[in-house]
Amino acid sequence: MLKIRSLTKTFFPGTPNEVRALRGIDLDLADGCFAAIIGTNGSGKSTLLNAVAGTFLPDTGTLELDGHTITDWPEHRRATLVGRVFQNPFAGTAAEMSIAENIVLATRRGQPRGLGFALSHKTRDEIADRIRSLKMGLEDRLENPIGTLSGGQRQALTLLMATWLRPKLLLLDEHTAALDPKSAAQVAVLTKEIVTREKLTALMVTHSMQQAVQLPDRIIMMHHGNIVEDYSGERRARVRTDDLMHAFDRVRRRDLFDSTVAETVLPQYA
Amino acid sequence: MTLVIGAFTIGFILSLLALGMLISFRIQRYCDITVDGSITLGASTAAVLLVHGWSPWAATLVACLAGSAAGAVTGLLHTKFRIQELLSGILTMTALYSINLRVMGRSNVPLLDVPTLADGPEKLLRKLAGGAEALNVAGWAVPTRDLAMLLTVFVAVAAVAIALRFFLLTHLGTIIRAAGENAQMARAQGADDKRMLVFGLAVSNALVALAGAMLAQYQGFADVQMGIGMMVWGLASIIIGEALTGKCSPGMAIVGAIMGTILFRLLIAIALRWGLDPNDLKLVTAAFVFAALVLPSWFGRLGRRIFGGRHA
Amino acid sequence: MKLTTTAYPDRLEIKAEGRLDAAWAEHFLEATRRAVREGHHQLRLDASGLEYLSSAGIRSLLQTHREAAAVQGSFKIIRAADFIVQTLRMSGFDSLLALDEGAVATDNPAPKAPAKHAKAGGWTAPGMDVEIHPLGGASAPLRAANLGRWQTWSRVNLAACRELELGAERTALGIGTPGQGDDLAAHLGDFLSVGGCTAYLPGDGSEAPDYLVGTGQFVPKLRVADALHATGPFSHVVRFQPDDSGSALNIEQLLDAAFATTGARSVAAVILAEIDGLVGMAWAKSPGLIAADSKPAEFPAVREWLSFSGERVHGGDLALVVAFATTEALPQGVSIPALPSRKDWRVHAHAAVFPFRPLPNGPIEMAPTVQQLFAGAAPQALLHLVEDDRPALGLGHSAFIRGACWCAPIQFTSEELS
Repeated sequence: MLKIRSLTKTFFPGTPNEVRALRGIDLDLADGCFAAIIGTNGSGKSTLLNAVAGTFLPDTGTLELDGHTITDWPEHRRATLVGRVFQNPFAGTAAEMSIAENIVLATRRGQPRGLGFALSHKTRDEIADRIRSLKMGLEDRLENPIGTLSGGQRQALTLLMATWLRPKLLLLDEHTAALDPKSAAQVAVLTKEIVTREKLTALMVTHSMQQAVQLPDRIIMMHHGNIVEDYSGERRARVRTDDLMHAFDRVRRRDLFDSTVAETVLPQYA
Repeated sequence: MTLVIGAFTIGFILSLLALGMLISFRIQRYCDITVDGSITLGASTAAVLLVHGWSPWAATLVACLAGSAAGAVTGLLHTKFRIQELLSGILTMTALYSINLRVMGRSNVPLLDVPTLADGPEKLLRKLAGGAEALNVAGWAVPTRDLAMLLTVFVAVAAVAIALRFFLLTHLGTIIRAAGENAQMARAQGADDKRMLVFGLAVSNALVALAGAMLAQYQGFADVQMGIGMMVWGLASIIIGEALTGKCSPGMAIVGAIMGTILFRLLIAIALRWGLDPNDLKLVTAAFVFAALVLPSWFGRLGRRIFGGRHA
Repeated sequence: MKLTTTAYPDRLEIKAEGRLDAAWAEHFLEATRRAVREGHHQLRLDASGLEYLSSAGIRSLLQTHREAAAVQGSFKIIRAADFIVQTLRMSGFDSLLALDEGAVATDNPAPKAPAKHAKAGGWTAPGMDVEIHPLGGASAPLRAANLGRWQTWSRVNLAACRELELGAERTALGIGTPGQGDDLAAHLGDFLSVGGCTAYLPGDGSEAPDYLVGTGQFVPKLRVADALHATGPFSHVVRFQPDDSGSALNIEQLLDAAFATTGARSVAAVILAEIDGLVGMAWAKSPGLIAADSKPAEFPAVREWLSFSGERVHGGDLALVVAFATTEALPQGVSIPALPSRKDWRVHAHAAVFPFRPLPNGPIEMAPTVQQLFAGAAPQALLHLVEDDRPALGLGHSAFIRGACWCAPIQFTSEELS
């Protein structure tokens, strides 16, 4: 479904602030696979997600999604194939517009928008029906500005919006990180539910080891702009949070193993 | 009575300016300074075409197109060339000053004995009134011509307001509103927020130019200086409107902008009648906008201090 | 609840005032565990200030009793008020009550730790209480050998890998695997073996050590590429604990104690101790995969093969260390690397890490103690200990807070002695 080939991105090239955020990423995501990306701060995990979403264009490499080469597609064009939920609950919705108006936008994601009246009675009923399935009691508040809702409710609605039209790929960028623990758990459960029910292909960046172990079919670990671990299949099945913590520890220790260490340690391995 | 009729007429004309600015400033949250130039552009274009014998309808339409072109230029400067928001507007506005002089050939074009948009309604009124030069309105004799002008601008504003209200509730209108509030979200929904901005600024400045064209026909002249300070007037109208109707739905915001403009013009008319020096008008307006922007939070803080609430 | 502790020469009294109920039981248990960890194995609860004792409280008393008994200590309740006595009697736990309390009430408190047991001429260290106990038996050097003799960083010759039996009498460390055949190359990793218990780290990238425990007829065997081993009973045990918190002994000091105690120039040492910090390395990949013409020992390629602890790790856990050290010339075929900061010392040490558990005081026996350790918990990590003597940045030596160091004089032979 998603095919990433030798993707690189360097921010501020040639300056003291140069950041080699992606250093040649190769990744294949099968249809219907729910993968989580974990990694240290600055490992490039969010950059990778943004590269797929089209927030910026990569320096080199190619992106292929559902048979389309989307490397040069601008962000809004990729939205025809991609649904997104952001870390910031305010990022995915327009606060001053009503719940219904926000959702009606998602009913035309990536499609031409004409001069037809947006919120017909039929659309409104359909929206109410699907919001009812969230069991948050929001179906009676369709006219309220979405800004009056809690972060968890907004993230749940953003998730609903991102998947209203079945996306070829769902991108979740630490979408529970800004929520209180209870809402985060609710949104995580909802995510799993929707992804499983709709058999979605999804890529989720998370910093929660617990989430990484509970939700996805595949766990990818990034460090310094590279993929350093890829747990899938049998290996994925036996992964526990401890294993992920060890993997983090391993890459951290590897960074501490510099040439001075090698100099003092290697004679002791003679 | 003439004063009131005049205030209403100018009020309705400038409502078009306020509606245009409602799109850029409020819906798209884009601080568009082009307005000062494009209202003059509308006036000068219409005036010159009228002098050259064009029909008022065609002249007004071309003025609108010119305005939308100006808005689009500002939008493109910002989106394609990544020039800052305010600076793009300033560049277009400055360029428009010379363009307006070029269009008119001099700094002022009087419109004497040329047909205007009000001619049709005036004929209609005269026919209804049996050819009278003035009509009795609530005991006052009002020139038919003034009434016809008022009627014309009212119909124009009503048409624009209704069209705008319905447009904002369409799929396209909804995504434009969303793009103004949260461009990131609009992109995630597949909307090209840059194109939306250019489109919105074009519509906005078309309305502003329409206001300019009508103002020229009402005043009987176009002047290269006439746009100065118009943006602040429009802003004042919008702020008053929001105080009257709140910010909630697009419909209420539109009604508010119109009511705000008229109320503002009435206040100015009264102030002038009481002896306010017309030269001080812009200072007073600027002071008013300043107060409207600053006082609410200042009062809020004062209130908290007085009533011992929590400090922010 | 308020807890006050007073140390006497033969016991630690904990005076509890207030309610010992569900809310405080865990707190009480933590306090007694800390006391046991610090070497106070004879515990007394002064119950005169107790106002209430719930079932959760009784449970914490029983747990304390159990944990003290596990290190051959004791736990008794003294000066109990009538209602406490009644409660314990009714629950059938009156065995916890000390009825001869008159005898203990008159002692003078001795806040300082008990008198030192160091024998005349024994090894000492500042800030440490050290006891040295001979373990009986002959003190003739054990025969020690180097089996396999893989030249580090060269390609492993699978045919040259030897089988090493790891019975209860044998102490060993090295690189090996229980695997067979081709499997061997991909699974070589560090191991250590004491008292018939072997911990090894499979060199397959998994970070979890595995272990083999000899029972009955079963004697664990490893195929080893390189191993140091010695067979026979150890001659001494050095017990150490800080006399005030904050002191620790590093591995160089403990080996110095072993040299001094045995009077030999080559020693084998087994350390079982609470960790202050370990500094070490582990194979990230099986050295059996090293290709013939590669240069794995160059930086940065070496990072693919070895993983470095990066900091002093596993503080507070329990380490089982096997070390071979010598200050004399080694016979042909035996190789042990020199210490960076002390070139006349050659040391090779491996450590397995276990969750902390207290050890009984006094002269404890090596094999049974290690067997109990393996019966109680699995090793969590296994490291090849190194000295990091980089200026400023260096992590130094691995160090230990309290525990036991068994030692034996050894005599290296140039035979392999499989």
